[in-house]
Amino acid sequence: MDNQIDVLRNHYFQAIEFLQFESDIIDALPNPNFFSFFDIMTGLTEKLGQSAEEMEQMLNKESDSELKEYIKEELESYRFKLKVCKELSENAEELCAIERDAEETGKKSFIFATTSSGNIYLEKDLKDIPEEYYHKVISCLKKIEENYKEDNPEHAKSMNSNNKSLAGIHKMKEFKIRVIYRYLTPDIAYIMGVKMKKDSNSNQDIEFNSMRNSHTFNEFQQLKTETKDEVKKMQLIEENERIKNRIINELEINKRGVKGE
Amino acid sequence: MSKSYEVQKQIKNEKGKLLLQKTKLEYSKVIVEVLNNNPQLVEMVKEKMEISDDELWNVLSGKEDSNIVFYDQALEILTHAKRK
Repeated sequence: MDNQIDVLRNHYFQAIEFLQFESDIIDALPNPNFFSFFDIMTGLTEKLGQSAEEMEQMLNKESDSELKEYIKEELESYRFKLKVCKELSENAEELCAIERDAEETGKKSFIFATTSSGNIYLEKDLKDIPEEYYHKVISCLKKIEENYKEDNPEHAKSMNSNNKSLAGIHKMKEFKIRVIYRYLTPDIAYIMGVKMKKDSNSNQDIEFNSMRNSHTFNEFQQLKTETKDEVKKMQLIEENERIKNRIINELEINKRGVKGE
Repeated sequence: MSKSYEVQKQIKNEKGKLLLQKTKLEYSKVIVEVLNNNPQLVEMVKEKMEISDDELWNVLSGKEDSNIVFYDQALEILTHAKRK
């Protein structure tokens, strides 16, 4: 079976070598949702690097101008693929480092994801959550804040899915409630929203998460840059602390108890 | 560049896409064979990959497409399990 995996990986590398158009290349490259991403990337960059070197040697030896142009284009294609692989690997390593550090770092601050018109997604989502579940939402938020870990790893899971963009997204669970978040830094959780869990409809959940991730992607990237500046980071934390307190106060006022679960 | 070069590029790209799909099918075939012979490993794969039953079988049956790492991770898990 060890041999089989190597053979299949080689077939995959060949497929990548044949691809010519940027969008097809990007779609086909490995996503960092599972750990075999790193093994595949190592093999792929090695193979692409070897082929690029061979192309360079051919280019140096070739005298025919039309063939030279052809080889140059092929070489550019390999360089593009290597560049994208390098970016993907660096992003994945950065994400792993943040996730690792987030595990160890204690209390989290929050930054709340906002819509394009500046409304807080969590508050928007709460309109679809019955008031009798508000205490569950509060509980999820407090658990994220406290970096809660339970023996049952189901409570805070990093979502794996087939979707490239969902790497690093977590959900904190209480009965019927899912709060979705990701780590901006090891000590800041970016709260993306809240959802009622629909029974046995994981496809709807994946769609919701995928769309929310897509809508908040640009803001998340911008915040990643902004939080590198310590002064700006503290401003954002303070501003969102006020938002958090407001949200929790409103939830406390409006919550109803639930008899049993 | 000449028109024939552009056409060659198209053909090469299509070949790459076909080869990619073929590779995913090959992965699926191997994985399904191992799971058929070792059904006790199904739960282990789902747990380690944190995926549902639907997600696993929809991808392996070809009903849904997935990124190459999905297939590779599943096969890696099974390879390690069979080594033990």
